[in-house]
Amino acid sequence: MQRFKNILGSRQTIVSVDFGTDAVRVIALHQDADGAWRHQAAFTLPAIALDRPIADHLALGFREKIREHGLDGARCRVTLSANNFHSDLAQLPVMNDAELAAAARFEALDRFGVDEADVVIQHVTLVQQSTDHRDVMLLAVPQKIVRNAAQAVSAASLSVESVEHAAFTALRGISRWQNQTQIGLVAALHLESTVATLMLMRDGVLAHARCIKGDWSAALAQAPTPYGAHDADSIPLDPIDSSKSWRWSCLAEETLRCLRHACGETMWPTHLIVSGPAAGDDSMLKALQGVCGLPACCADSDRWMQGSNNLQGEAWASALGAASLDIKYMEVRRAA
Amino acid sequence: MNFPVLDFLPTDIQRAVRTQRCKRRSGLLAGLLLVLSAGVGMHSWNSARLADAARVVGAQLVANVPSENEVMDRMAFEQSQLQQALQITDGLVPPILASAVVATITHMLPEHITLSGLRLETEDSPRQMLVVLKGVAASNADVAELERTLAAAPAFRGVTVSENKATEFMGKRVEDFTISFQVPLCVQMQSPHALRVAMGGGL
Repeated sequence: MQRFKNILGSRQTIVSVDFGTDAVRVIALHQDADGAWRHQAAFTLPAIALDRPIADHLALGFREKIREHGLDGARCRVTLSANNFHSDLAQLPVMNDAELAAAARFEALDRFGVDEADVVIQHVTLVQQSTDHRDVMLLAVPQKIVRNAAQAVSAASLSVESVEHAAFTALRGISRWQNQTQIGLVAALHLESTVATLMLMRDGVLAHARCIKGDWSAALAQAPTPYGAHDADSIPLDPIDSSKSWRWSCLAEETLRCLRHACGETMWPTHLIVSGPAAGDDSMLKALQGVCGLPACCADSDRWMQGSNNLQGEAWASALGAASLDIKYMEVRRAA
Repeated sequence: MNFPVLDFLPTDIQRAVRTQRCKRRSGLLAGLLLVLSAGVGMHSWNSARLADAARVVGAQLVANVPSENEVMDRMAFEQSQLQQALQITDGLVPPILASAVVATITHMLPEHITLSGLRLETEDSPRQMLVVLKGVAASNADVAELERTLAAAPAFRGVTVSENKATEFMGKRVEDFTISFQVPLCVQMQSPHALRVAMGGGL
């Protein structure tokens, strides 16, 4: 019966799947009769490598879990971790939206050096600071990554609704559930095992975004990546075994550089909100606070949803943020 | 927050998902419609079956209803039976009481007869009352009249003048007589109002 209800689209249940680097997180939110949302199910699965077809045992386990929680046939929103994406900032001349999309696509293909048929490209227009050009965030993700994610979700009897960038969905969740992001300049840092995404919001509008490559896998539960295997451009968690605050100094310094680049010297963010699977370290907050000179706090995503006391840490921010879109749509529909 | 949704799902997958969703929903709705149709069909069939059975029962009832003449004949028969029963009921006469016998005899006495004795005896087999009257009459004609009067009464049986002799009473010639008769004490059938006896000063 639940499956029939899911197929018929009774949107009382929202499912969100976050393909993280350390684990796959699935959360289902359910709306009670009183209109309050609470999480109906939340579980993690072993990480799935999306650059190749999903292994049978993982697909089977995923499907079993979905069936166990009665989510068969439900629509779901998928988020991909930032390490799957190519991203860059570009300045484009002022033009209309259609021309801007075409120009952004052309620019992304040129910058990322990929074949058009192999990637899905999107762009975000950042808040306009100049009248003669537009700042655009270019994002591209390989088609096979998206298709494998969609395939994994479909094989688990879910119906994929959208595929989004984990950091931006986390930002959406922060914007929805954190009251301090609507006014002024606020920075958000979504920290995953190998990519940290720094986003800057001015009066609730995305003003700047920057992906910082690094190795923060030591902050996750899983085993750290071997030191020698680091990308030459990535920032190591230095030293990996240290528990002091300064182990995050490299990330903090890079964050400071990005903030200086984005804000200049005129206006500084009021505070920095940190989310993501690797964001549970207090020493990181201290390092960011000390180096960047602004209050740093966690997004408290474990308190965003009623009944989510067992969603410990900030790892569920992306999934909850993705689900917040459906919550918003339903609120708009109900209000209408 | 004015942040656009960056959906990286390729168009062909979106279309495929939408198609699959439509197929699932259509299949489910078709299944529900099929179940609904089957349910409605079953209900209709059952209703038709019940209506058919009701019609058969109605036809049987109509076939078994008697005609007007039969009803009239049956009513006339029952009326005649009722009349007979009423006649029987009216004709039933309970045993006559001794007081009624005495009152009746007193009422029937001619003008010139005086009773000097009255004896009432009951017998069990047959169950009857034996009445013996003794008296003095002015003439034999008066005795004969009393005998006729008693014999004419339906309640009395076997009226017999057992003794009749001339004698003198207070210087006059009179007839001394004895009359005996029986009064049945069992319930008997008589024509209505045929058995008239005096009861407490009235007939």
